Amino acid sequence: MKLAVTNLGKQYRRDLWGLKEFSLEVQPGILGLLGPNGAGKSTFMRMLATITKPTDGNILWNDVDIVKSPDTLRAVLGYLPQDFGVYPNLTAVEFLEYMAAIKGLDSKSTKKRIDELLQVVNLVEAAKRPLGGYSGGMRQRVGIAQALLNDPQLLIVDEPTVGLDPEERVRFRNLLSDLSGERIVILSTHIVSDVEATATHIVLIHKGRLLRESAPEELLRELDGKVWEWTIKSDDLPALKQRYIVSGTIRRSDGVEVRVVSESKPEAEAQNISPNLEDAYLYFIGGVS
Amino acid sequence: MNPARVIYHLARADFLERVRRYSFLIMLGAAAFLGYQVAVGNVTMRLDIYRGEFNSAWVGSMMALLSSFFLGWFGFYLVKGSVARDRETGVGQIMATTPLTRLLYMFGKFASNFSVLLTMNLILAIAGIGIQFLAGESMQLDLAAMFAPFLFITLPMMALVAAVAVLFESIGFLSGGFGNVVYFFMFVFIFPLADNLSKTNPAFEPLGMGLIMQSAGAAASAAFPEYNGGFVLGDPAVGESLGFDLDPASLVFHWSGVDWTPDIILKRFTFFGIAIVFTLLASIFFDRFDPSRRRPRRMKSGASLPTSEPATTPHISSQPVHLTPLNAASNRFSFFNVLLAELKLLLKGQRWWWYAIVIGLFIASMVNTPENVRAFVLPFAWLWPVLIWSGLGSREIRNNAHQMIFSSASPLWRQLPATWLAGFLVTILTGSGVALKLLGAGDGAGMLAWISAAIFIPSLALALGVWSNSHKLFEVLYVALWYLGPMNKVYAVDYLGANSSGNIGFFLPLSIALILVAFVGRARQLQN
Repeated sequence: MKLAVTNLGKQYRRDLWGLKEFSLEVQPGILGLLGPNGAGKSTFMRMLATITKPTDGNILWNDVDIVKSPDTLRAVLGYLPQDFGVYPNLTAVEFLEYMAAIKGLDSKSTKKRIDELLQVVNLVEAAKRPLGGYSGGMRQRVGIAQALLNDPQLLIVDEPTVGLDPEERVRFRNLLSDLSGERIVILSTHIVSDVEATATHIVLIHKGRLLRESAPEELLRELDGKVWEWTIKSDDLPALKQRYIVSGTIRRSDGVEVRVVSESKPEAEAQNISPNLEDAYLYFIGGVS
Repeated sequence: MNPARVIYHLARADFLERVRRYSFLIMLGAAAFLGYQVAVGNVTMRLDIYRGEFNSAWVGSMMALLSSFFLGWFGFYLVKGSVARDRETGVGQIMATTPLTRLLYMFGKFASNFSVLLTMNLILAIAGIGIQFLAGESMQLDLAAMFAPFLFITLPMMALVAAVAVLFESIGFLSGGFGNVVYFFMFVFIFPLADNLSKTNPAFEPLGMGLIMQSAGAAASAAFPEYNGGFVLGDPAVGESLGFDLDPASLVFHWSGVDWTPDIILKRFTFFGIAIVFTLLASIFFDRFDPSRRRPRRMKSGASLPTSEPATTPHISSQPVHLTPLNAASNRFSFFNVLLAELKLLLKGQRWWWYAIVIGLFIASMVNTPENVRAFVLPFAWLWPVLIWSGLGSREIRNNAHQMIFSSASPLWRQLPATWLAGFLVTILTGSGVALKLLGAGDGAGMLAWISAAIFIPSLALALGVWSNSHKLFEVLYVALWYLGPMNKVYAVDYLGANSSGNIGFFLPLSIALILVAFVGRARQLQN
């Protein structure tokens, strides 16, 4: 199972590229896509999901060009778009039955799969209610369920935890981890903690270009010795933000405890601490903007 | 809060949003095409065989009447939908949290609707100037005579249309497809009313034909005493190419336009007053984007309102999460399953009375003579599901479910044929009583027309749905076709064969072409 992307580009207007010269090889596991708004994450995912055709480059699924033969991938694809709707008059079960029929699942497997998925996304009690009456988080869970209907080999989820409460978020992360063994999961989000908790590989995208690609450990290793913590007076905070990448602040009785990413020791009293993914994200993204 | 400023900005934002849409460009194109049709003589205004000299008054009045008629009809469908857009995009809920009142919001929407229609009118008015010079009968441009009919005839009508659109959008059951059909019949019923008012009080006739008929008619009578009061707008039968093959000069009379007295102007401006009343009414019915005041459209009665209840069980995160892998044999595509799902999707949400009427029409087919069944029962049997057919082809994008559906395997060859077939089955189901009657009576010609129509209707719906991404276009065109053909015996478009053999030599190939067009449209959507 292999997904290879070579020199991928998507041009929206003459002077506007959503993605450019993007190359990547993806193996089974969870690939976390990180990047600021408008970085090109959703453009990339829509091209992988065969919704949008690239302007340049190739996407190969097990060496088959999916731009030319999209159905090769579609048969084994699960896709949760960032922004999607549902048919308001159908219940969750009916909607999932509809999607299962379109995806080509047989009747026997469909029923069993839907029962299981409704339990997994915790919608058993609401399963017979029309989707028009669902809250945003519940609809999101229906979206997650439809993406998993055909037990996809490639699962693409774009901002999957938007609208989910903390418990459901944790539940979804666990589900992703459980699923990732024998398939490729591509997870796009700007909630860094979601990626931190699940991703086996990370890609940083910025302004339509691939900025960094590595395992989370490698990314963090690069920041060893570059993250500092100390307490300053509240009044000094604005000036500090002008000079350094401040990745965290906590109010204390004696001032503000700051977390700063810096190549060198910023202040005499600053203590070197272990980096996390959010530090890394700000360091790499902040370094090029 | 300055109300005028609020209305201005509401209308401005809404106007800009709309004029940057393709549908606006299409309507602009249609307005330009209408102007062109007038210029080449395919659409014209006549009083029997006579017509006025193409001076500013005649051309201005003709263009104003055409505008009043076409924009009065189709303009409604163009401008209706701005409240729905605010609802769908969520902008409405943001506005609802501001001090903006329902009244100001509705007047903003009215002003925006009116501005859009005004823009269309402006194009036709400017086209009028070109047409006058192209005709070359009078090279003297009288701007007052050219634009006065627009100002006093068309604009009050446009205000009315803009306000009716706002009113329909504020009333739940009129805000969707049903309202589109209702407006068509409302518009059609203006004609008998217009005919009466033209004789008694022409200034109060909304389309303004009465005023022109009366004034131009007097000029025609003075020039041609044998003129007997006939009036034709848009008759192509006698359309010579304007500027190249003009009518014989002996049938042309001079007319300097309506004498716009203060009394007439006041009466015409009464329509602005009516429009304001409609907008006020709209603000009363408008739910201010409060979901608790509005049952989701076409949702069955037991449906609940949107809830914030997460429907979770406590400490769920500690429970193990695991899915059983599917075996390879599970992925076995069944067209029948997709068809069944599409059929369910089409019929889901219909109320019991919808089926009761289908049964009623079935019984009516059984107890009537075959002639009456063809002429009366069939047209109603195949008007009744119009809101079901109108969802074909556009439902995926309208409900924003297209990304999920289009990324499934072979959406072009699996889902789209199933969609068409589901529409075809609904057509057969609702017309089954008629088919049985025709078979029983051995009416072969009627049966052929029935089959042709059963193929044509879902094909038209699918093609228009796929290309317009909207249910509106089919609703407007289908109801107009239904009204002209089966109901008004225009045999060329009597696709049902209600009063003819159904013109199957035209409609069957057209249906096949429409299916192809739908496939091309969907393939285009998939290759975006």
